Amino acid sequence: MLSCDRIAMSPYGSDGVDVTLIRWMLSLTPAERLAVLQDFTDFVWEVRDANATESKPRHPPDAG
Amino acid sequence: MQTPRNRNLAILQTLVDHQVEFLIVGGVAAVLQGAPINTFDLDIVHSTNPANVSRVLAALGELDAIYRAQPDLRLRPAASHLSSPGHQLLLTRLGPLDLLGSIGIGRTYSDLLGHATEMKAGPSLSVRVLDLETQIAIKEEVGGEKDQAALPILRRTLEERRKA
Repeated sequence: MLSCDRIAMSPYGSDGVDVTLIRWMLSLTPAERLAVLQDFTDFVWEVRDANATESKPRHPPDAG
Repeated sequence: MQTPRNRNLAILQTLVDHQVEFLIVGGVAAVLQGAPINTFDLDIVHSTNPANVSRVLAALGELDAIYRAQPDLRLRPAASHLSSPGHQLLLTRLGPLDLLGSIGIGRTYSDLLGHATEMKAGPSLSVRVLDLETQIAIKEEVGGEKDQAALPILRRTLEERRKA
């Protein structure tokens, strides 16, 4: 039987990469993967807005 | 307390509601300080003192956290795991959450607390975030392939922050 101790002991590959995260991402649909990324992006914007001391544009100006 | 709509904020709110002592490290900490990198999980270093471990367990229960390595087995961390310096890579009902007893060469919550800055994460939510200088120092001392890859971006971000 696989124990929690065994899982907790070596969660990363020899290159330091977290394979469990890759496997979890691969278990999602492409739309769900984008949603994960969007959620982190929204999170960062919310924290930045909460710490903003002055009004700044949220998006870079149009390049065109 | 109203639960934030954003999943990562909701995870943090749950930890704060349970009075967990923690600080945010890793990719999210770097991004919050301006580093232009992508990240897909939330890494925190928690205090491993027994009272805090009890609070972490309560928060993880509310978040329905299981080990990410074998999600089908639905294994849950115990107090002994959270008291150790090891890394607990979890999947909560709101997404991935990594609970780290230490980072780098044995740096614990109490070692890192003096290198964290407090940031607002919402109207009534504040979190501690590990500063970029310490993140860079830790990646340099670990020296892994993955850590080395992020170093140039973190160093340049720190330089630009100092210029601003």
